[in-house]
Amino acid sequence: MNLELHDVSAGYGAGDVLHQVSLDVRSGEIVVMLGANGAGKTTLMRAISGVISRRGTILLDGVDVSRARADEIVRRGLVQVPQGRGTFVDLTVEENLRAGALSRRDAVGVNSDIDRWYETYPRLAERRRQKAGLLSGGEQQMLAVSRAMMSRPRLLLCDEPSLGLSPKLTRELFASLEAINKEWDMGMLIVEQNAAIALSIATRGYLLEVGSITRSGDAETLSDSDAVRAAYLGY
Amino acid sequence: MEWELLMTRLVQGIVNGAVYGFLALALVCTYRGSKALNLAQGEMAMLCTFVAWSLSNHGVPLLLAIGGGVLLGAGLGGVIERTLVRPFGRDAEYPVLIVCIGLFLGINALAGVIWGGDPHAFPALVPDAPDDYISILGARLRYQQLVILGALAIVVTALYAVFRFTRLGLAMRASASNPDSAVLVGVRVSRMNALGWVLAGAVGAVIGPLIAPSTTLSTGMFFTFIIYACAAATLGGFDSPIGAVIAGLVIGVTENLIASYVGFIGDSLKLAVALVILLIVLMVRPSGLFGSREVERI
Repeated sequence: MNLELHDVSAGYGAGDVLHQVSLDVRSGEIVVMLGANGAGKTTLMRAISGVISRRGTILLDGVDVSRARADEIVRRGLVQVPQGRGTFVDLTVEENLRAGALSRRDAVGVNSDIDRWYETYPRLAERRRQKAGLLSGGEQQMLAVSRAMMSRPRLLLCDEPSLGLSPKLTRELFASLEAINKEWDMGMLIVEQNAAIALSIATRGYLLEVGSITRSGDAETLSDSDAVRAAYLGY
Repeated sequence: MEWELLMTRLVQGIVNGAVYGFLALALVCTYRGSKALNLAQGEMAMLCTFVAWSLSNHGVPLLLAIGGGVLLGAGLGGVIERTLVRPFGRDAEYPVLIVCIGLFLGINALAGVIWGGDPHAFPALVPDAPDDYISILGARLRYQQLVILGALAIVVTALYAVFRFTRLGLAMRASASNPDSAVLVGVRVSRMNALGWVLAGAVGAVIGPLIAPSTTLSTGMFFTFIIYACAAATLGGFDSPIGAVIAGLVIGVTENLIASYVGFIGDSLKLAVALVILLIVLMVRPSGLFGSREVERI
């Protein structure tokens, strides 16, 4: 599924946080959005997902969804893994997965998908009857990704997936995202502050600064660029 | 004789507690989604009871008239959420609380204008003569009281089944648990909140016509019940339907036993007993007996 943004602006009440952002994510590719705290990365994610109102054009496979409600966007196949994971802490692990599939109607497919994600993340299977709030940070992130995948999306947005995870868990998570990308031919737009690891699995990237895209290019070019190096890679 | 008194008090406590629990259940239904304490819940139930009474006075069979009241309650809940609660947006607990107080006064005054301030007799669903009761270990359980307990059991079981075993119930629980994430999995959270009000309106409208034969029908019939219901909902943890019902029963039984065995309290200080229980429990467990404690590991 292709995602295109043309001149998208959005904000909360007084003034815009995002200023005429244009970008695209092609079917099956991993695109990373780099940016410092407060650059507007989460606002961008919320604008694409339809959680906040936005201006400009957002196309999903050529269809304009800039006025669509959040649930319509989920049904069209674009799903977000929110920042801080956003699991339903007082629902069980299994109920979280079922909630992820609420936009679907095929009960049989949902059950087999649940088993599938239990195979991928055996820790979740062990804890299926536990409240999600009792999981560790890494387990919650696995749950958040699986929950998003339960709707059978065709494009995944991930908002700061490494937030609060140890370096080891971060590597595991990114390996797992890369595996999902390969296996499902799943397009992904990943917002990250951990530029090194994000660029290592991405094909292309953008740099968001104070609400505007200031740089874009393929992952190697971005890694080599001085601006990205100095600000996000630290060498 | 002593034994009989104990059983009588116990049965009375359970029946009272069922009424508190019923109304508390309605409070929990709205609270889970909108995070609003609907102080007008009792008045909405009173209005629906009056409407059921009017319908039955116009020749509609009583059961059907009560059904009409329940439908009105559901509709009223939905309309109130849509027009008076949703426009304030999320995190508007205080504005909505003020709206609820306004509704309390408004509905009460409206009912007074239409039906007057005098109490009316309300027909019972089942035979309610002095000898219409069953004996349980020496205590009398009137048929009408049996109906109240049965109705509570049915409503609680039905709600539990919906919340636990249906997609709709899962969507409602997900949006109560984390509205931001619920939106992102495709749940229409505002609809779920409205549905909470619809359910609450209906649940409240069930209890009114069941207690009216004994309390009589008047605009003030829910004044003390709503206080007890708030106490029960708080004690139960506010987001747990089962907790609200159990807490209602606990309060009903405790206050009746204490009122009958502690001389100086008697009937006049019963309400104070309920509030003291509440205070003690909340000091020990701020999230109530069954409320979901904030369990979160980062």
